[in-house]
Order: sequence, then C-alpha cells, then structure tokens
Amino acid sequence: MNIPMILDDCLARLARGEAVADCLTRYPDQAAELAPMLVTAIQLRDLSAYRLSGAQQLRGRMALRRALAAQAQPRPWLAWLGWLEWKLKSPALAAAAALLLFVGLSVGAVAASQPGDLAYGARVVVERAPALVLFDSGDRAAAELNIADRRLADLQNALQRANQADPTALHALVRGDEAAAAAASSLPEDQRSRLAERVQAHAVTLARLAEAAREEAAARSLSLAAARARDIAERLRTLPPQGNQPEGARSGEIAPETRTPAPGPTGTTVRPEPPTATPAATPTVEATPEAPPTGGSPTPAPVAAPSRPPTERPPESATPRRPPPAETRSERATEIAGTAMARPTHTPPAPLATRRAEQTPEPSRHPTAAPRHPTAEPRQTPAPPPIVETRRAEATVESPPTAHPGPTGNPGGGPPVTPGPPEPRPTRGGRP
Amino acid sequence: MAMQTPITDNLVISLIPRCQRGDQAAVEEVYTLYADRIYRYLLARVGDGDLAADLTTEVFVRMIGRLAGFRLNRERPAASFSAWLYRIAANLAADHHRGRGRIVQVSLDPESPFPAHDPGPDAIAERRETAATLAKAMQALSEDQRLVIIGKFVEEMSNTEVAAWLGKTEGAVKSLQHRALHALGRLLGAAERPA
Repeated sequence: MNIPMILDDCLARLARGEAVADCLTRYPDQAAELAPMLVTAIQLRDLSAYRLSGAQQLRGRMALRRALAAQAQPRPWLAWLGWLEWKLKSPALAAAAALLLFVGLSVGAVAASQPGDLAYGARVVVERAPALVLFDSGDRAAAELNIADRRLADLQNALQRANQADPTALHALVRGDEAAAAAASSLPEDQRSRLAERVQAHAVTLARLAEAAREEAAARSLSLAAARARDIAERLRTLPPQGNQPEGARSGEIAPETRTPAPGPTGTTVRPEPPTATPAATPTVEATPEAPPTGGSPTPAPVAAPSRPPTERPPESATPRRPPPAETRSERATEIAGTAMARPTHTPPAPLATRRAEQTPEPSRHPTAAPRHPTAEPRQTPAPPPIVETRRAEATVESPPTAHPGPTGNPGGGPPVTPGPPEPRPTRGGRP
Repeated sequence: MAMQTPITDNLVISLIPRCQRGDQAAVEEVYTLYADRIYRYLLARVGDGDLAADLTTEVFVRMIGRLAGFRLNRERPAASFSAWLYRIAANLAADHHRGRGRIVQVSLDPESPFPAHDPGPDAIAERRETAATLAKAMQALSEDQRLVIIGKFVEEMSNTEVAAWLGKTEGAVKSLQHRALHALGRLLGAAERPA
C-alpha cells in the first residue's frame, strides 16, 4: 500500500470519527509522514463551516438582478471584440479573427467600389487578373472584352451619377480593347470579326456617351476613347492571316502615324509607303505587308519605336487613312491613356512632326504630289463622335487641307514637319 | 454544519437553459446552490471574508454575462457546470493576486464570515489568522490540488465525486490529495502542532 492509499484510508477513518492517534497507530512506519497531513486535513475541514452572511447574500442577489437587467439591454457595437476574445480564449486567435474580418471587409469594399472610389483602382486590377492567366488566345480576348464591358458599364454609371468620365474606367476600357486585339492577333478571321464587332460596339457606346456628356472635358475624353476603340476594331478587321502579325499589331501598339498620308499645306499628300508597295484598289488589299523587306527602305522607323524594322509595319498603317490635320492618333492614344483625360484643353501636337520628318518627304519637295488614293474610301464608323468626325472630315483627301490651318499655329496649315525641336509630350515607355 | 442542497444532474439540466434565457428565478436558484461553495473556495484562496464575498458576487455576475456561450456537457452536466463556475472563480482569484501583489489581507470587519455558532472573540481572531495562513499556503498549490482539497475537505465530496467533478481518475485524485496535504502540512507548520 503506498502513501496516497494509506493517507486516503486514514482520511476516511477520520471522517468516520476516528482519532488521529488511532490512525497513526495503524501505520507506525508511515506515522511520521502521515501526522502533519492528517492534522492539516482536520484544519481544512473547518473551512466547510464558512458561509456567506445574510447581508452578503442579499448584496449578491441585488448585484445579480442588476446584471440581468443590464444583460437585457442591447450591447454596445464594440462588445463583440470582448466577446470574440473570450470566445476564442486567446488574444492571438482574436487578433487573427479580427484580421480575417478586416480582410473580408476590404475585399467587400473593393468588390463594391464604383468609379471615383479609392478602392476602384484595386477592383479594376483584381477583376482583370483572371484574364491574365488564360493561355488560349480566344478565351483571353473574350475575357478582356468582358472586363471591358464591365468598365463601360461603370463608366455609364459614373456619367449618370456625377457626369464625369472616370479616367480609371476609361483607361481600363481602352486597355481591355487593346489587350483583346493583341490576344486576337493569332485567331482566325471570323473570330476576329466577332471581336471587332464588340470593340466597335464599345466605340459606338462611347461616342453616344460623348454626345450626351454635359462637360466638355468628359465629352472630349469619351470622344478620344471612341476613336481609339474604332481604330482597334479596324485593326482587328484588317489584320493579316494568323502567323504574319507584325510585332506592333500583336502587342496592340498603335501604328505610327507617319505611315499615313499627311495633309500637306497645298492640298497634296505624300507617299510614305516604301517604293516596293504596290498601290491597290482598296486600302485593305494594299495594307497587306506582303511587300518584301527591302532592307534599305526609304521610310525609316519612327522615333517612338526605333527597334522595329521599317518594313515590319502593321498592315493598317499602309491604308490611306484620313489623319486629322492637327491631332494624330498616337496623340489621342496618349491622352486616353492618362494625361489628357484630366486636361480640359488639348495641347497642339508637335513631337510627331519629327517622326514624320524622318519618313515623309517635305511638301516643298513634292509640291504637286497627288493624293495616293483619292477615291479610296476608308471604313466609316457607324456613329462617330462629333469631335472626331469633324477632324476626320477635315483630314480626308477630298477636302482641301489648305483650308485648315493646324493648331500648331502654322497659318498656312503647313506640313507636320516643324523645324524646331519637338515639344515634350507625356508618353508611356516611349510608346504613343 | 448546515446541510447543503445536493447538486444533481437533473437539477442543473433544468436550471441552466432557463438561466441562459435570462430567467431571474433560475439564476437566483443557481446562486443559492453555489454561492457558499464558491465563497469557501475564494476564502481559501484570498483569506479575507469580505473580499471573498465580493469576489463571489463577481463570479455570478460574470456567469450571467458568459452563460450564453456555455455548452452543457450532457454526459456529466453538474460536474461540467461546476467546473466552469470554479474556473471563473479561479481566474478572479488569480486576477486579485496579480493586482494586489499576492498580499493576503485579513478583514477587520465585525461581520464575520464564520459560522454562526457564537464563537468567542479569541476564536474569531484565531480563525481569521488561520484563514489568512491557509490562503497563503493554498497559493503554493496547483489548481488541481486546490480543487481536490476544496472538494474533499470543504465540500466533503467522496473520491468518486471529486474525480467526476474534475474529470480525473480516483487514483489521480488520491495522488493529488497526498501531494496537496503534504505541501500544506509543511507550509502550515502542522508538524509542530499537537495532534
């Protein structure tokens, strides 16, 4: 029998009324060890006689009633923190739970954000993330356009709510169209046509929004975005068969404006195409970059994209576009991309003139150069915005360019070749 | 010693859900069942009758606030609720000792916490001193040892009841009892006193 068992036996005997001495006599070998423990046990039994007095009990019951009444009251909204800590039994767990709650609320705030909100930029990025991991070109292009549809809806909401064209939504919309066009470069023509129709629908909607916009800055931004979307749609339609895509077209890069005939001061246009390009009846036929690389092309690459060989051009660049006399596509794209959205007024274009100077012969050297395709009708967009339409009408080969002095201040509406250094323009990564 | 109302599983099963619904009568009945028990435990912990009474009230106030989160163990309902209530009391006693730097106070209040069998002034003074000394010695025990001592010698439970209350075996209870009494006997100097 070990000591705990002997002690327990002695305690049971004490409880039955046996004396301590009698217990010790039963276990003489353990008596020295048992004695203090048995005496302590007797002292402890005295504690069982202790109880609350009547007054203490009354105070206790009153406190309970007050606590019950307070319990019936609604809790302060922060009481859940204390409850959480008690429930989780650990401050670390409570902190983790609170962090989880914060993350959940943040995600909710991002998901519910609208143009103009702080979290809207995060929403745009997060919503586009799934499209970036799609490897199938068709799926990715469709996903990009779906996201662009959402941005367009956001834009419409923002216009209805605050009559403002939100730059973030507008930029994301154009970027989505660009990304879809880039992803669609390797798709068959029928798929590209369908994607082009969707991009064209964006352009139409943007143009309508621009017409409906009450503020000039918003109308201008929307018009520029509509023109950009039209360009993208047109590029999608005119892409060559898959596998022959120029690098610039695949990446959604804007074709250099210098390859389009620029209106000269005397109503003449220039031929920016390489001499090997054969004029065709329609711009699209002519646009195919099947002209063999000539190596020493007379039209050097534009300054904005010096790494691209001169002959590696998007096919659309060879089409006889109707370039605006004062504002070029690349400038519009730059404005859409960010800076010009917030600008109420438009600065005169200057830097493109340098590029043109490298590629296009000076008008003075070709004073009688006729328009290359005077009868070629470029594609007409169904509902062009007023601002862009006016500019395009001014830039058509049928209209005399001399009647429109450029916004550069050239009274004669001179060629886009300016003798001075180009005015610094905000661009992104050297791209227009 | 006055007889205490026995706490049965059926009684606890009927009372606790009512308490959780905010039934004042049920709460007061729980108070009647457990107040003296908790008081004696706290008296053994803090050694001051008034302080133990205040802490007892605080235990039941906390019980009301936390009862909504309490889940009754259907296999041993009385033991599980009792253990939960004593844990609140133990936490309060620990908070008290942390806040007071483990200073055991002796009450000078004439309203004595001792039994109402008219003890003389000398007996009252001696018991106060004994309670304070005992509370000091109890601080040296582990919580399990304290609960075994309270269960066996204050609540006069059997080994089986204490084992069920604490969720331990009877052998473990006997071992805890031995270690606790050995430590207390040494701390209280019981060996020097006459048996």
